[in-house]
Amino acid sequence: MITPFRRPWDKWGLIFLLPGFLYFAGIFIYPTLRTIGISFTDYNLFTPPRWSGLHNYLTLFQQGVFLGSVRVTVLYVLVVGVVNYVLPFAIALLLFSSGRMLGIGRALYFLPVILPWVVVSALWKIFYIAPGPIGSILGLVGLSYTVNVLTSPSTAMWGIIVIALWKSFGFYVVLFMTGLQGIPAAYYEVADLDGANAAQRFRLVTFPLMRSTSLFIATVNFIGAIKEFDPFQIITMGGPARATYVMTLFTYETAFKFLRMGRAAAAALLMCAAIVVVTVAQFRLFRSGRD
Amino acid sequence: MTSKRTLVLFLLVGLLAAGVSWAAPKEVSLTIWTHTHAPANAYITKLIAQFQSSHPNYTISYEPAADNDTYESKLLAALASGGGPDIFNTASFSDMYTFAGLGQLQEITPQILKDMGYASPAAFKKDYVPGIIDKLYYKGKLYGLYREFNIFGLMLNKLAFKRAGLDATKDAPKTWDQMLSLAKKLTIYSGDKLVQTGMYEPLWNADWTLIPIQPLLTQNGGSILDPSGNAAAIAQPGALKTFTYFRQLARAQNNAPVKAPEDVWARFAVGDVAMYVGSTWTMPLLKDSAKGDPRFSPDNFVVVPYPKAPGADRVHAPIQALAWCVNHASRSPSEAWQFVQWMTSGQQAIGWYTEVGYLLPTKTMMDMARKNADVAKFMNLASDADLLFAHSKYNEIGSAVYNAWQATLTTDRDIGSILGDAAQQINETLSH
Repeated sequence: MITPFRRPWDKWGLIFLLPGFLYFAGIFIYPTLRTIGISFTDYNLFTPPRWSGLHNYLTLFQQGVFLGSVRVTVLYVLVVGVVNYVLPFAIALLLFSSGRMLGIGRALYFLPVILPWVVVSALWKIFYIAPGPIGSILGLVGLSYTVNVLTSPSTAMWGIIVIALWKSFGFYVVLFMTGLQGIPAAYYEVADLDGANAAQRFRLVTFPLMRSTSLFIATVNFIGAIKEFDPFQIITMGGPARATYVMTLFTYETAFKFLRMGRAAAAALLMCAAIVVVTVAQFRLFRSGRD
Repeated sequence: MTSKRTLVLFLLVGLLAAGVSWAAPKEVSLTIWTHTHAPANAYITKLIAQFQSSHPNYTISYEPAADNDTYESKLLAALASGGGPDIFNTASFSDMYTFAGLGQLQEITPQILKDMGYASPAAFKKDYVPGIIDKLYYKGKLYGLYREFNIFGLMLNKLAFKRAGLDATKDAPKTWDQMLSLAKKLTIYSGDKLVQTGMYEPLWNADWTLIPIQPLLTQNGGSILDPSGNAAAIAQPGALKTFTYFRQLARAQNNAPVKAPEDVWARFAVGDVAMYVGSTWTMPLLKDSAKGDPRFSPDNFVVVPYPKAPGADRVHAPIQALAWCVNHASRSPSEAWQFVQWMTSGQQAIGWYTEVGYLLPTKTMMDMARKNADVAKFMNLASDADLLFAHSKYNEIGSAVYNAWQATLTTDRDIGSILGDAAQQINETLSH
């Protein structure tokens, strides 16, 4: 029998890991398990939870308000997910290929990223007032802006999407720029020698070598979009007529306004499941083309 | 010897008596949370200083909410964790029922009433407008005192009427049909730019949905819940008629009330909104909102009752109230209630009107208020006023009503279908 070799200091490694593990267990494992447990109960924060089985999940799927919030969330995530990938990538390519204005450009597009949502929300609420700043700017080119986009159910979500893109695209531009700078120049030189045009350089060199960066950005962007809460709470409070009532807002109100912690926990877990499913799908999508 | 003993005995008794009188009164430490309203914050701070100077054993710390939108959640989280303030005002009147139902409030027991100086609950009730104190009871127990008691009327801006060639005093609407045609006449566009809104319809929250609609809803024989309180009545004809009317009102103004929801107070103050609902606190707010604009003057406003539908028994003016409550976990519940009672009675009660603009339904204050011409305008509406709809599940029910209201005003969806969805949501709420 071979006895595995153990170094005398191995046990210290475990001891050093303990604080990290306790921290992780305390702020992640325990709350997750507790949330799962609560989702099977009827619980109002003040009286002990009562077991209710799958009732919360079944109610959610029968509840028009929740299903509506899912639809609203899907729209938001799809638009922000796609545009916040394509737009920063395009801007990063533009800046990278021109090689100019990198410093100034970076400062300009990164500024909204560091602003807190409260400030951004207050700012854009003023921008959107009609008549107001947007109306004045559009008036210069002969266009009119007479109705605040946030007051109509058909335009309110688009109003928020514009704000969300403005606030976050700079972050993704920086990430794309970092990825682009990591591609060795030799690849482009070889492509040039082979007579590749700009589109071929992008398709055959840039895009494949940006796959890891793309996967990271797509995943972070998607998770960020599905978890988005601040603009909906601060700017529209889910209105008008629930046109911007996303799942996070539904979960928040269900928990802290309606005191239905079990149902809110179930909604939060469904949201979590959606994140896991789409993240796995993204991993597969971006890995599928790997050579 | 006997005289020495007697002397010692006297000394002992004297020292004992002196000891009793020297015994420091119980140290009381209280914390107060409220939503933020600048004049109220300032007045509460002033009252605390005044009370502490006459009660040096009290230490009262006051924390007005930094953000009114999250005040309720913060309060809830604090109460749920077994902490929170000793004294707080509810974010809506219904919160008192909700928190009482959850066992989070300290009842005003007959003993506490005695500590407040009332010989009996009946004596306490005598201090208030008849019947009004009953609303502070939940399942037979008294859980609150009024913080504010706002009787709403219809306010008309003379400047806006004049701009449309009308006279606010003579042309004030008496029926809902008159209001509809007036709103149309009073709405002014310059091209596609809105210059003046006829009648504003707020899109803020559940309370601000009920303030404009509850009178007509009641006059139409409608209600949020059926008489049993166990099922929604919002999809029934009375409510359908009411919501249809308010959509017509918005459409008659080319949706002006929906187009400009921001700065309504500022716009109303200077005459860019002609008709709106208001209460006693509205005038100080309008003055602040006008920011020195010369177009603002208190004399520019006329207060009239809400319109009345043909055949309706009365107007049913709405009253929006808020209550003071004491945390069941408070270590000094009796002292907390005594402070609240002091804060809302006598000269302090009058100060709530003179410094903040809030009315309290105490008899003394009502009598005082009637002597003030501005307040009297609203007080005259009190005789046929009703408290806004309140329920221990108000947040959920109110959310359904509010969303139905938003959908009615901002979409072209069939109103029957909108109210059907709201009724379904309310019934689901009531069934669990």
